Amino acid sequence: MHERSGCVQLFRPQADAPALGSSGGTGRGVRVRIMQLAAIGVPIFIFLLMAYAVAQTADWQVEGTGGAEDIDAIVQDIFTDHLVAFEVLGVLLTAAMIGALVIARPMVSGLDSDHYPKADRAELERTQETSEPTATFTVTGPPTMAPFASESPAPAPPGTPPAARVGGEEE
Amino acid sequence: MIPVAYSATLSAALFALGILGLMRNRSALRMLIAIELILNAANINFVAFAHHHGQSDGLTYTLFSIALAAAEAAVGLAILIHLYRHVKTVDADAATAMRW
Repeated sequence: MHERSGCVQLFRPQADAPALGSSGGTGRGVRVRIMQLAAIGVPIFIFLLMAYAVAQTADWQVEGTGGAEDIDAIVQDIFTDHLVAFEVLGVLLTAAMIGALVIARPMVSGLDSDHYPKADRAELERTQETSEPTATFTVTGPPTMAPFASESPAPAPPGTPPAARVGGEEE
Repeated sequence: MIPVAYSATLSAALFALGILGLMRNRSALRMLIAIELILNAANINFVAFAHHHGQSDGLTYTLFSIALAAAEAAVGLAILIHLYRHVKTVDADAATAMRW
C-alpha cells in the first residue's frame, strides 16, 4: 500500500472516508469531508464569478462584424506576423513527439530497469512480453513485389499476447 | 449571430467542469481529460471574441493553443504509460517516490 502524501489527496473521495451526514467522528475525517465539499464548491464559485462578470457586461463595446471567417486572413497572419511562433511551435511539437517516444519506449534490461526497484521475474517477463514488438524483419535480398491478387495476410506469430489492458480503478 | 455572452458563459461552464474533474478524479488519465477540457474552454473564448471583433488574431492563437494541447497530451500520456509500468496503476496517489 503506497503511503499517501500531499494535500491533493484530500480533494478526492477515499474508501475509508465517512459517509456524508454520518457522525464519522475523527477530526481528520471532518477535515477530509470539508476539503471534498470545497472541491465541488470551488468550481461552482469560479463559474458563478465568471457568469456574473459576463452578465454585468451590458455593453461589449465593439459591435461584432462577424468577418473572421476568411481563411486567407488567418494564413496571412500566421505566415507574416506570427511566423516565428509558428516555427517554434513546429520545433516544440517535434521535441514533444520525440520525448514522448523516449519516455514510453519499452524497457530494455540493463538500461532502465537498473534504476528502478526490481520486479519479480514473472512480472518482468509479462511486461516485456506486452511491450516488445512481435514483427521481425530480415533482409534476404532485393525487394520483390508480389501480385496484389495473390497476396494473403501474414498469419500472426504464435504466442501473440492479447492487447494489454491499461486502467486504474476508482473506489 | 450568436451573442458573445453566450459563448463566454459556455466557456466559463467548461472551465469550471474541467476544474471539477481535475480536483475530484483520482485517475491520472481522467485528470488529463479534464485539463484538455480547460484548454478547450479557453479556445472557445478565443474564437468567440475573434468572431465578435472580426479579427483573425484570436483564431491564430487558437490554432497555436490546439497544437500546444496536442503536444502536452502526448507527453502526458507517455508519462502515464511509463508510470503504469512501475506502479501498475494509473492512480495519481500511487506516484509518491521521486527517482533516486
